[in-house]
Amino acid sequence: MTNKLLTYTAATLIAAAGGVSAQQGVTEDSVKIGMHADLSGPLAIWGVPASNAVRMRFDQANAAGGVHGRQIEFIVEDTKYEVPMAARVTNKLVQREEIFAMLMGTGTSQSQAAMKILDPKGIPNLFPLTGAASMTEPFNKLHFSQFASYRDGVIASLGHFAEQGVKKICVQSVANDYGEEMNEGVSLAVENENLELVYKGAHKVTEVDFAGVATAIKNTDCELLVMGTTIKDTITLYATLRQLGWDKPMVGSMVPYTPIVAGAGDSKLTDGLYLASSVLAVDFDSGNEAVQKFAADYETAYGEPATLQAQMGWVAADLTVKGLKNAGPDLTTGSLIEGIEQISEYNDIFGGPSLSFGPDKHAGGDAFVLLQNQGGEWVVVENDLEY
Amino acid sequence: MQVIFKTDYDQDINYMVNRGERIRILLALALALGAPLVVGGYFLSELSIFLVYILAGLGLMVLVGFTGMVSFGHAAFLGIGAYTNSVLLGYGVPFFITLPAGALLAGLIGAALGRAASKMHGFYMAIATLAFAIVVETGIGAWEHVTGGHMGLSVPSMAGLGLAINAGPMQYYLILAIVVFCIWGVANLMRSPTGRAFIAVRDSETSARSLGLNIARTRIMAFFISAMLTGLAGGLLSHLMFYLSPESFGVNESLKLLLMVIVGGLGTITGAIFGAVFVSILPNLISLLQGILPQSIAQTAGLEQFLFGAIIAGFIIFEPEGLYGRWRKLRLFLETFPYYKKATFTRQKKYLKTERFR
Repeated sequence: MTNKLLTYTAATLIAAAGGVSAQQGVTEDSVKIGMHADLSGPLAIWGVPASNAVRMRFDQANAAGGVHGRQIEFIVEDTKYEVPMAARVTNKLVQREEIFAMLMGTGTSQSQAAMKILDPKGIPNLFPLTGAASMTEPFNKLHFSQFASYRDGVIASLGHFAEQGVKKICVQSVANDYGEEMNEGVSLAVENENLELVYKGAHKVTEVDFAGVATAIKNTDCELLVMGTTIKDTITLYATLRQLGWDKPMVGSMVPYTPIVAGAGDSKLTDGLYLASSVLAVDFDSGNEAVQKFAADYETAYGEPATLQAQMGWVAADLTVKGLKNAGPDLTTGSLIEGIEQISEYNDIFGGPSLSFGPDKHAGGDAFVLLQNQGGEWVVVENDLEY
Repeated sequence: MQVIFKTDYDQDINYMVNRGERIRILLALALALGAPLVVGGYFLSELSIFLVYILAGLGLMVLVGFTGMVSFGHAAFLGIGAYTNSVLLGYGVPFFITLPAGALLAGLIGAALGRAASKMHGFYMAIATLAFAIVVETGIGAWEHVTGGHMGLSVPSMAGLGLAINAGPMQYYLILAIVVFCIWGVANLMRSPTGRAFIAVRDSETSARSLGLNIARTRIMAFFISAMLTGLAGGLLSHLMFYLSPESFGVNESLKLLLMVIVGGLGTITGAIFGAVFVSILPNLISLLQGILPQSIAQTAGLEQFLFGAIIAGFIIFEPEGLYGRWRKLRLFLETFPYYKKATFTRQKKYLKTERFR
């Protein structure tokens, strides 16, 4: 208890030292929440639906009278997925719009840059749109994530395959922050599960030809390949290896978790690929009532069908609304943090893995789902993959 | 050419040619000094970024505008400066050492590149500098235990000797002072034998050589100074970016710098400043354009790069002297109305295109 109190005092002190009162962005009847998102760059297919869905959830909350009488004002700024741009718009949100909290910033490096500005001001960074472990590590009172990290995903899935007797593994990752995190997960899992890492490869983001890589992997005696790959490279590498007649399992993260990857080449190219994800994409047509209502509302509001990213946005906004509710009528940064930490065993309307937060647990994801591409559809193989 | 009537020998070595220019520059300086009193924190940081881009553009201007060598890889020097500064700051070295250290390292690497590129022309040099930029970007990404690799590097705050400069007026004034000092330095350089040698090499290698200039040495010098200025800009920029990742110093950034000097106006210091204004407004113009264009075109990936390229090509074809040249023509048009004639700005000297030693 004393410990908890101390950290809150510290958080408040940090906020005070930043020259801003802890209640920046909060009035009697409004609360300002900002987001930096890629709305026009290479990851606009992530940023646009996510920000739309957040807005939709906040509009619903506002229509219901707001949270404790406060209307949520939501401001989105475009970063084009550029790090310097993320720093600039965060500056703008903090200094000109005077936001109370940052929600769902898109991208890892982008969020890192934003946190450099937010932390000294004592502004919380909530549920960024990235599964990087660095979003909540090292521990900071102000940082929350709704996902379990890519790194933990590798650990979880390797744990699963180790139980089935896999001993020797290979890893091929893209040369960027995401790929490095996947490698980190592999080395941790190798230590924990007593595995043997036989091959470790990296390729550039722009690489299109994987014949060499695939041959190198085939010539090793590993029994499983961890793919720290994104979208195109996942498809190409997987297809090339299968063409060479390599029949061992391959497992990736939630990054290639899209219908495009499952359906590539008449659903034949990536048939059998495993993924570990901390979210579960629902089939919007056959889901329960709440899901169908969400999909219909989204389509009427934005004129395009809802996607997995919209789902993530909705969950982030829902968690924020819950946190604001728990914080009570006297809204400060400290009470919001406490409010979010009270959320436990949260189950979203989409039936994904449950989320819990606590004073020492700011990464919400409790477990992973292991998926496999079976005939062009992502099918759940294992539901509660612990790590 | 536009002729200025000379009534005094001092006119040959004055920094500013006429009174109007003097008044405008003083006005700009006064505005820059007074800005923190008027604008808020956000605009101040935007202004700082703008100032840093002037410095980076100035560096490239020394190379492209004054010495006539093209570089498609100047963002690499920006990156070297930024990373050197941040890494050294991380070891607790004070900022007044790390900033010059970054500039110096960028300058030395620039000189080494200049050594290789000093014998190249045209396309070859463009490709060499482009390749260099890609190597630097990849190198930064691969050198994990120093640069943090692709995970990126968090920039420590500007500190040293018990002095910590955080974002705000202090930082702004420091950047302003450095930028003004460098502009003054480059203006001075261009009046010195070294600067005049740059221009001689740009205008005609044959003539420069016959006057006894060592062309390779002059070019290496130009590369050194250019890279040093851009490296210094990189060091300052790192504090405005807060977080460095190799992708921030990619080909796109190099193109942006080149766009800046070409659109601003090659061969003048004012051109670098005009270019920085243009590049700062450009993202707003592009998003405005995206609103007008049909959805299918506006959402295409690479629209920005396409526009960058199109603007560079457009300026080279229709207004090689850039915005600054346009502005001078407009001014002369107003000053001499109705006697303005196009031929005033036509270049009189023509050189043989076959002027080559190899």
